[in-house]
Amino acid sequence: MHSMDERSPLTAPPADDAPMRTLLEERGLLLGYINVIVRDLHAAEDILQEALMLALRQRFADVGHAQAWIRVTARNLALNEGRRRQRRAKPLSDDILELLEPAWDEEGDGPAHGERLAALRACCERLSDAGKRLIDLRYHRKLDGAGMAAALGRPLNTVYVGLSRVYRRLSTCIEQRMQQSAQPRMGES
Amino acid sequence: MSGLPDDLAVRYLEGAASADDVAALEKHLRADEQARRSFVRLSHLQALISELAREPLLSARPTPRWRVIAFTATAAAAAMLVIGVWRGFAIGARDTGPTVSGSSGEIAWTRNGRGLRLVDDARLAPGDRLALAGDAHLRIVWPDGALVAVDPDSDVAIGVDASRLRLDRGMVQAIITHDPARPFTIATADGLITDLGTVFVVRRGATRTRVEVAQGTVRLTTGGEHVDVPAGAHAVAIAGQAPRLLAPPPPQAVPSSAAGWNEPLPLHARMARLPDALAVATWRVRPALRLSLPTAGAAMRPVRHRGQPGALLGDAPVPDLRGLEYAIGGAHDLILVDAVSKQAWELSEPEGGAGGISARRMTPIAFDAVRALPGLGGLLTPRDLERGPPRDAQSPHTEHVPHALVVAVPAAVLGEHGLRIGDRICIVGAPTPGNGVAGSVLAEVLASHGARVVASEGAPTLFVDPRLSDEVRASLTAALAELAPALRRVETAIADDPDQ
Repeated sequence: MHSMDERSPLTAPPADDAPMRTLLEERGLLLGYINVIVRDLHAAEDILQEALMLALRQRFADVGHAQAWIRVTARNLALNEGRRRQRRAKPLSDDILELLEPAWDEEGDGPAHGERLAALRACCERLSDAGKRLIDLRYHRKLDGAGMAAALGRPLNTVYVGLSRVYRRLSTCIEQRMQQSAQPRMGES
Repeated sequence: MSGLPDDLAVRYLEGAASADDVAALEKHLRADEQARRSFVRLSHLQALISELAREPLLSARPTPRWRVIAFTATAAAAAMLVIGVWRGFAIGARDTGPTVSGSSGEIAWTRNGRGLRLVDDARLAPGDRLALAGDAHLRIVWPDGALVAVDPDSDVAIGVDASRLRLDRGMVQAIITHDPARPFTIATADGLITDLGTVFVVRRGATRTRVEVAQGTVRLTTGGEHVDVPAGAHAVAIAGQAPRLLAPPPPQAVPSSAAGWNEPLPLHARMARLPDALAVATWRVRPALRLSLPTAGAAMRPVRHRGQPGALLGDAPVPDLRGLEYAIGGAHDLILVDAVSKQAWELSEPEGGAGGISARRMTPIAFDAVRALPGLGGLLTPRDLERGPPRDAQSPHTEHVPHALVVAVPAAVLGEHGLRIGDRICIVGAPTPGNGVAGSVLAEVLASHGARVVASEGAPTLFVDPRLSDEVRASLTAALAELAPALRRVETAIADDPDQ
C-alpha cells in the first residue's frame, strides 16, 4: 500500500504551469521526435507519456529548461527502448540525431499544435479516396506496410510510394492553410 | 521534399528500412539541411496524423454517437484535482472565450448577422449564434473546463443574458466542474439554469424548458423563484411561472452484498452507484505495477477479442464485450480504458512465476490532456438512460465469476463499439468474494488522493489526509461507503512501483 504520494500528478501542486503546458502543446512534435528513433508510433506514444509523467515531477526553471529536459529524457528513453527491442535496423546515428536538432527547433517554432491539427483535419478531408484509404489502413486499422500491401493487393514498395505521396500532399496542404490562416483567423463565407 | 527520397524517409519512419536504407538516409541528412527539415516535418506530420486518427469526428469512419457515462460527484472531485494540475493546459486556457472542440454535420455559425465557417478549435465570442441541423453535433469547451454538447436540431447563442449559453431550441448537455466564483449558467426563454456542480441536460421545447440532472445539483430560476434540482430529478420552467420540481424517481434497491450485483438493475441505477473513485483508477496504475490476487493459483489465460489482445483472469467466461452495456452491467471487476490517462492496460503473469498479475500499458496514448480534460467523456444521453441493460445482461457474464476479472480493452475495440478514448467508460463493478483486484486498484486510487484503506473483514477504514479539501474527503468517503458492503477485503499488496 502506498501512503500519500507527494509526487502524484493528482496531488502535486500546480506550481508554474507554463513549462508543462508548453510540453503538452508540443506533444505532437515530441512524438515525432521520439518516433525518429523508435520508428513505431505506439512505442513512441508510450515513451512520450513516460517522459511527460516524469516531467510532471520536475520543477522547471522556465519553458526552455523544460523543453531541453524533455528532449534529452525522451531521447534517452527512446534509445533504451530501441536497444531493448533490437528488432529493427539501428536508428539514425547520434551525430545525425544531433544534426536534426536545429530542424526540430525550427519546426517547434511553427504554428501551434491545435492549428496544425485543425489544418491537417481539413486537409485529410480533401484527400482522394485512395489517399484516405491509405490513411485509414495505416492509422485507423494500424496496419504496417506489409499489412497494407496485403489489404490492397499491391506490392510493398507501391504502398510506401503511395504513403509518401499522401504525406507530401498533406504537408503541402497544411502549409498552404497555415499561410492562409496567418491572415484572418476565421474564413468568412 | 528536397533531395530526400520520400519513400526512403517513409520506410525508415515506418520501421521498414534496411541497414542500407538507413545508411542512405543518413547520407542525405548529413549533406542537406533542407533534407533534414523535410525529414523532421514528415515525422511530425505522422505524429499529428496519429493523433488525428483518434478523433472520431474527423475520421473516414462513421461518426459514433456521443455516449458517455458517469461523471459523478467523486469523479468530478478527482477531475478537479487533476485540473488543479492541468488547469492551464485545457483548450483555450489562455483565452477568454469558449472554443469548438468537436463538430460534425451542418452548423450555421453567425456573428453579428454574418455567416462564418465553423472549424474545430474556432474561438466563439459573445453573441455568436449556432444553429445545428438534424445531423449535426457540436461540442463547446470553456477555458475553465466546462463542456457543453449541443444536440442536433438545436439553436444556441454564446454569452448572452449574463449566461454562458442561451438555448433557444433543442437540447444541450453539460458537464461542469463547479466553481462557486464563476457559476455556469444556461439561459432559456423560460428561465435560468445555474449549476451547483453537476452533469445536466436542458431541453427547450415550444413552451417550456425541462432540466434533468444526472449528477450534482442545478438551480432553476424563473418567475422570480427558484428550485434546486437534485440528481435524478427534473424540473420544468415555463416563462412567468414558478419552476416546478418533479419528484425524482423512487430510489432503486441497492444490493447489500456482492451477489446483489448480479441483479439486472436498470442502467441508471447502476450508474448512480458506481464507485466513482475507481473511474480514475488507471490514472494511477503505472507500468510494472503489480496487482496481487488474493486467491492463490488463479488461472489466467490470454484472450483475443476481435483480433485484439486482452487478458482474462480467472475462469469466468470470455467476455464478448458487447459494448457499453456489458461494461456497466457485468458483475465483474471490469476495467476498460480510462478517460483520464487515456490508456489501456494489458495484464500478464509476471516473469518468474511470482504469481499475481502485472499490469502493463498496452495502448499508451500520448497525453492529450488538452482535449481530454475538458471532455472527460461525452455525455450520457437520455436514450442511454432509458435503454437499460441488454436482455441477456445476466448471461453468461453474471453467473460464474469466482475470481477477479480484469479486461483491458485496446482503443481499437472501443472504436468498434462506437466509443473512443476520452469517453468516460471506465467502470468497475463491485468486488466479488475473493476478488482483490478492484480493491487493490481502489486502494491505489485512494492513496493517490492521500487516503488509505486498511484491509478488513468488516467495514474498511478510510484514512484521509487532512490536507485534502472537505469536498474531496467527502467524495472519497462516499465512494468507499458505497463499496463497503461488497468490499470484503482490500488487498494492499501492491508491489512497489519502480517509478516511485
